Amino acid sequence: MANETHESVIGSDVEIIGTIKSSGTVRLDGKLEGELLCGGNAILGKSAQVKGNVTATSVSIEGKINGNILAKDKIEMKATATVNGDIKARRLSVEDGVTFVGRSEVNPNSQPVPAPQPGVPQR
Amino acid sequence: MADKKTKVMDGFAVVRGLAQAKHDGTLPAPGSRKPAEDLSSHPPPPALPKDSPHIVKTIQPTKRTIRCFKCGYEFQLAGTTKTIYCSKCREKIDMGDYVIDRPWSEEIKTGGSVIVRPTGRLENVRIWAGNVILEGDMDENSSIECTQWLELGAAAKPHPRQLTMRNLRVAAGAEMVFKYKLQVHHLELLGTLEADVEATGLVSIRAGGHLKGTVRGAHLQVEEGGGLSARAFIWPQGNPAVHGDG
Repeated sequence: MANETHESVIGSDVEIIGTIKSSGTVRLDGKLEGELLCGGNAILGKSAQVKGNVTATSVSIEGKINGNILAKDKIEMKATATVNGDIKARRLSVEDGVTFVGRSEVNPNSQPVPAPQPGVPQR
Repeated sequence: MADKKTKVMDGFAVVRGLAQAKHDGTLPAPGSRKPAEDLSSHPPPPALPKDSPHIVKTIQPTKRTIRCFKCGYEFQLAGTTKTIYCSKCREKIDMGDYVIDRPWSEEIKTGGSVIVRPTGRLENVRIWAGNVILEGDMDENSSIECTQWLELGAAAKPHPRQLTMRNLRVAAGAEMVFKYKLQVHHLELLGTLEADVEATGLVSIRAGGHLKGTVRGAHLQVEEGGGLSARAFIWPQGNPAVHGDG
């Protein structure tokens, strides 16, 4: 039970204005106007729309993001993803079909990106 | 001759045959026939696998696109041949493949491939070819023009301004710097490329590949293990600012 991973799911009919902080995995299918800070993985489904920055250990995108993405480990852009913003990660995978406008800093041979602080309020 | 029996089965012959059968008692009573079998309860016959030996497949030879050096007309060629004539202007096109493994200063014009080995060096020469693999050296007076793929090997020392290609592949281990805008159709990176890339086709960064600079195009694919340190403008539907639909 100690290794049990918690996944928070935000449905497609949910719209949030504000910051979401979680130490586990977050799956977002709805709309978010604000930041997403995640200690685990952030999964943005096909219907997800984010206006704000996303920080997580790894980020998987199928929806739309207008904001920067910082991942400690990996960013995964699926074919349906639309990203308008800068991305920074250690590993990246992009499927053909994505829309991506921004600056990318992904070097698999570089030092790991500083870890995000999940659940710690930012002042 | 007149009483010769014909073997034509007409309606009268059928009626007569039935009457004879009834007389002999060999005609089954009406309704005594076995009812038609209900096939709906039976499973359908198993479909033959796609690669069944019973299905004869036609294997087509791979087609290559040939571009005439004289008129620029592009046409398809299946199979191999030493020479071919342009379908439009009838220009004779050499289709031979060449391997250069020593200093070379003789012009080559071929629809085939040219491989410049690490020991090869192009000296004041112009190379026209379908595909070129450059693993060796070239001086600044030499130029390479290829109608299809140009592959830059790890040991290649090209002069980027002297290269014209449709598609570019940077081999694993190669580190190339193009200081001008690189316009290509497809770009495949297994090595490192620093450039301002404008691609009309697919930009593919394979594992171990790394793109630095700027990339503009419609299609980007990054394999896990590939690096991208660049400003990216990737619009599969075209640039909305240009098309005015955004």
